[in-house]
Amino acid sequence: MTPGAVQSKKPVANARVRGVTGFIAFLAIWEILPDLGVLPARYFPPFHEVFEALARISQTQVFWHSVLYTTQAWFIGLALAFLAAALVGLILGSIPVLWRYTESTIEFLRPIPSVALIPLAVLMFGIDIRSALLLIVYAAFWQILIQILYGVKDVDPVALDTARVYGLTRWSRIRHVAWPTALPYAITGFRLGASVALVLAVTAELVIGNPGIGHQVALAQSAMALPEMYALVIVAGIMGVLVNVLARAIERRLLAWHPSVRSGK
Amino acid sequence: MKSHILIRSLVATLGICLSFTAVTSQAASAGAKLEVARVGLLPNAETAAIRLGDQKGFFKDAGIDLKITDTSSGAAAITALIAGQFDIVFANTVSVMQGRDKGLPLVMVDAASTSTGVDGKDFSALVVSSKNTMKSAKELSGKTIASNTVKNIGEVTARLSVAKAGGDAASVKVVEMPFSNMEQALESGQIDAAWMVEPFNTTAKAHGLRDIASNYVDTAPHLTAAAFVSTDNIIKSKADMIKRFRAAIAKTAEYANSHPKEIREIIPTFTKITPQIANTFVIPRYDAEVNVASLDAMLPEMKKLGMISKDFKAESVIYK
Repeated sequence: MTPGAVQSKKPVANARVRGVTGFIAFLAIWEILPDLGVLPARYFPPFHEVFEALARISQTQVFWHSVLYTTQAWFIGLALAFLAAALVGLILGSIPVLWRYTESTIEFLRPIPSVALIPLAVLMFGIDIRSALLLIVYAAFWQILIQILYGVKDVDPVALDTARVYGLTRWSRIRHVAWPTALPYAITGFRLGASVALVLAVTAELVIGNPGIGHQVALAQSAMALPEMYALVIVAGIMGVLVNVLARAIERRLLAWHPSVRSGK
Repeated sequence: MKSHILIRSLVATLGICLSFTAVTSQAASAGAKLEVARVGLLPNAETAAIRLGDQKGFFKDAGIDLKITDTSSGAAAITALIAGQFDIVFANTVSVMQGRDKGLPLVMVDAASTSTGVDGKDFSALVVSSKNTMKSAKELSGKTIASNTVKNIGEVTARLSVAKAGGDAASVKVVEMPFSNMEQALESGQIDAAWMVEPFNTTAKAHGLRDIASNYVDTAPHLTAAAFVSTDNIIKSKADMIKRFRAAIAKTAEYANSHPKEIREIIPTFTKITPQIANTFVIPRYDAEVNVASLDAMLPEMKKLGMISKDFKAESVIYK
């Protein structure tokens, strides 16, 4: 082991300790505030009640089915968005004329909040996972597309000229020059898209009512079952953390060769 | 292209996942010649009867395979009905009349939930805070009332309640707020009264808040609050199914109204309402027939609020 490695390990461990301590303190404050009457316990149940509710619902089949439904919608939506954005991004990015013609349209469509499409989604697909997928794909697609477009734009012109001089076909140039440059951007887009996809998956369930964690939150809310509602909100939060951890792991794996990842090690 | 195949296989996987649930539930009812009725229901006490009727086999007996999907709101249910996802959905009667008036081909096939008609013991009420000293809804003139949606059944019946008590309905301000936030808003003085339905008013009462009026009872004796809704098109193209559905609902209504204990037992199975609350809160009546007079009673106020056009008739939305 090099001295450098020893030195860099310690702050990581410290950061972890601080993180855990901070989180425990947060839970302790949550537990105490309703008891002290700072927060009304009727509307903000103390942590142990929420934890009990969490323990109870985690033994039910409905709960795990809901987690599965939400994960399923998230995964399919994200995969479709990523594939579509990668395809469109590489084509638009490598044919500048096309981009110039479509940029205004993209800039118009991109800021439309996905939730504004809920009535359209329900009208097209009803209360169904496809409605959720429409929202998820729409939200994640632009996040990823923009990253990939900038990634393709970032390609070194000298490298591209060199490839051209050596007679590489358009497809080979995309595959061997544009894609490796765009990949770090694409992965960033993937990470952003992954979080957005989960947000939209839960939102769709809450508002449209297709099965999943969001629908369970709505059910708990409409029955005034507050500890369970907060427990489900926490589960949604945990899913968000896991999505981020997963996306970071994929990033590290796919970009192991990239300076930004290597220097961070 | 590779990615194209991937997309296709993903879509295929999705299709398989979706059809899997359909296949498993179809297998259960294979054999007898049952006609499928795709029904969208809100998961609340007002839809307990039809679920109980399904469990009791009333729909199978009538040759109907009831396929229930949970909906999140009446608006989403009606949208999905119009989109063709459902044959019949549960929605409140005011939404249905508004939809019909706006040109949607909605028809009330049967009533779903009806007010108990008992003042102070209905599943809908105007609730005030524990500190509030008002004696009747008359004193709500010029005050702020919360409703889960504005310009809907809550607002209309709340205003009628104030008017019936001798107050000035037009001076009431109605604000929109989710049911789950109302208790807190009342106690903090943000609003003066709130329209609540079960289980919220029972929970609120347990916390010291109180009813000041039964707004459905004040509107009409046995107000039809919600209905099973279909479309002009479906009642023509699936006329036989609708007839059989109605026969099953008639049987369901009779059974549900005379077996409240079973209704209370089934509620915790499809909602997150606890058995303790389900055993104590007020459940609606589950009459099958739409009380047209009760719809007529809401029309003048709806017209005043600009919710429907002047010449709208309640009969235009009833199954004949």
